[in-house]
Amino acid sequence: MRSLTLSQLLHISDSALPIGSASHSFGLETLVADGALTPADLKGFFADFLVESGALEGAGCLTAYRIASARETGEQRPPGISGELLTAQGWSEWLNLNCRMSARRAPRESRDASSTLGRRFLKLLLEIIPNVGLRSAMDAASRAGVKIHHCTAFGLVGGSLDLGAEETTLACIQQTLKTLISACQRLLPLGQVAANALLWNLQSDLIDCLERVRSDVNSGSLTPCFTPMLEMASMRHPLLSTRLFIS
Amino acid sequence: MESIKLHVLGGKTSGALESAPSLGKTGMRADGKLDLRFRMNRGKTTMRMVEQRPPLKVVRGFELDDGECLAHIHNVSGGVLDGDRLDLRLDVGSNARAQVTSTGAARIYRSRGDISVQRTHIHIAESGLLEYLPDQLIPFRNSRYRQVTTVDMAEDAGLFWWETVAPGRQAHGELFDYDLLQIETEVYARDRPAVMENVRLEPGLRSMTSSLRMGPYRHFSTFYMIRIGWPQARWLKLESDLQALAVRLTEVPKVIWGVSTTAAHGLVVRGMSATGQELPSGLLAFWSSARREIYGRSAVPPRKVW
Repeated sequence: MRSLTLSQLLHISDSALPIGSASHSFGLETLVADGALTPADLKGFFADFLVESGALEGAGCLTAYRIASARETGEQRPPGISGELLTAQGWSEWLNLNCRMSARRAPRESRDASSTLGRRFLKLLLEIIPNVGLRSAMDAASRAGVKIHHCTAFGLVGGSLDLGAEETTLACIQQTLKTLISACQRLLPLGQVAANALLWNLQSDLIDCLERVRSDVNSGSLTPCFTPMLEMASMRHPLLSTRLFIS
Repeated sequence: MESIKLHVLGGKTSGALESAPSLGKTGMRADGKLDLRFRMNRGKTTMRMVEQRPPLKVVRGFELDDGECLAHIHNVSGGVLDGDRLDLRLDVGSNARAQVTSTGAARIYRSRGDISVQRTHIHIAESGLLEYLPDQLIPFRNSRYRQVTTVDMAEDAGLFWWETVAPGRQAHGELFDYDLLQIETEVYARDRPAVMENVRLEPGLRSMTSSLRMGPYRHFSTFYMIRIGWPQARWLKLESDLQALAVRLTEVPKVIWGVSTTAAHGLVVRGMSATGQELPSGLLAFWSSARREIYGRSAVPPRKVW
């Protein structure tokens, strides 16, 4: 991986990117309030998360990456060149992918959180790298009334900058994981060291997740995902009497 | 005897899904099919059975008080056997109203290696309504089952569809002892996906009791309520109303309910229960409330013990 692309990937996957991810727990807050998630559960919980939701996020990211990479007649162009990012068919596929990601998310709060982060992510990058055609993504989604999800926006940007399909997907999944572990630090007695050890020790699960994502996307199959406890926690989140998080 | 199957295939297949050869109607597995069409005819919905191939059967359509047509689907094998291929097609015409249920729980019998598959294709035309209310699905020990359901809905079409999955035959001590249960669901509203799910459960490989999956619960239900074109503001209001009902029905850690609007045109209700006993009455309560709000009429439940 070239230094420039590595630097760009590290930048867009930095959890400090100001898109508001720290405001969302995606249902974790309710699980903690119910006593269904304790510090002792976290390793197993996040390993399972990678098997289910992590793979779904990763599949959305990798598919978006491939759509962005295909471009016209499959030609690769240097990153940062201005012009139309995708063909009409490419936009149609990317919008359809976003519709599918919306349909895959049952809880409204989590769905809205993902689309808020996706929109803010694209908007931010549009400000700092205005010449890669990301404006078209915002415009196309707005015209079609389609919500942009974080993973599909991440994949689109990764593909448009040629950051590497697997690297981008892995970064996207890891960023999702970091967001949730960070939420746990505010919800549970989980210190900095323990949180970092948790993330570090999930690396083999991350790699397994990437393998599944690659396999699902290559075969064109619908990525499985079964997370009813987390989904119902997200559905019940608006009913919590005290909330730290938007979702 | 079309409905009798002999389990002479021993051992596992080499991992290929749905790979066993079809032996036709008299072979080891059933290629069942049921194709039903519901049409509005002078204020009443009538049912026409287009094709019926065992083990799937329907007796006839029964008229309900409000002109809706009720059909009971019957699996004459008593359950889904190893390697069965079942194909169910429900076509609800313009303005027609149909209620489809089953005669009993769907028992998924033990597999000797092959995966049993049920594919259901549902089409609901303009202003049609389908209430698809099957009994629970019970995957037996070592069963392998895949269910694929696709629903296409036109303008103003409506759907109430619930599904309940048991952990196995609890009275026999079975608890998540099945090998594979895969449930794929796609609902399209005017060609755009409104709901997509792919649940793949392999309890031998992945713990069902994870706090991410089912935690302390053992049975789960999903209930979709969709009406194409119904205003989003009304869905949000109904979500709020049904959330209040969900709170009343929830008794942690016995039973838990959640409600959310779907990506478009509808709501999804999820329920999980430790014993499964509370789920049917809960589903009925959500159905009654939602139907009254969306269609201005109370639900007419099929005769069963709820």
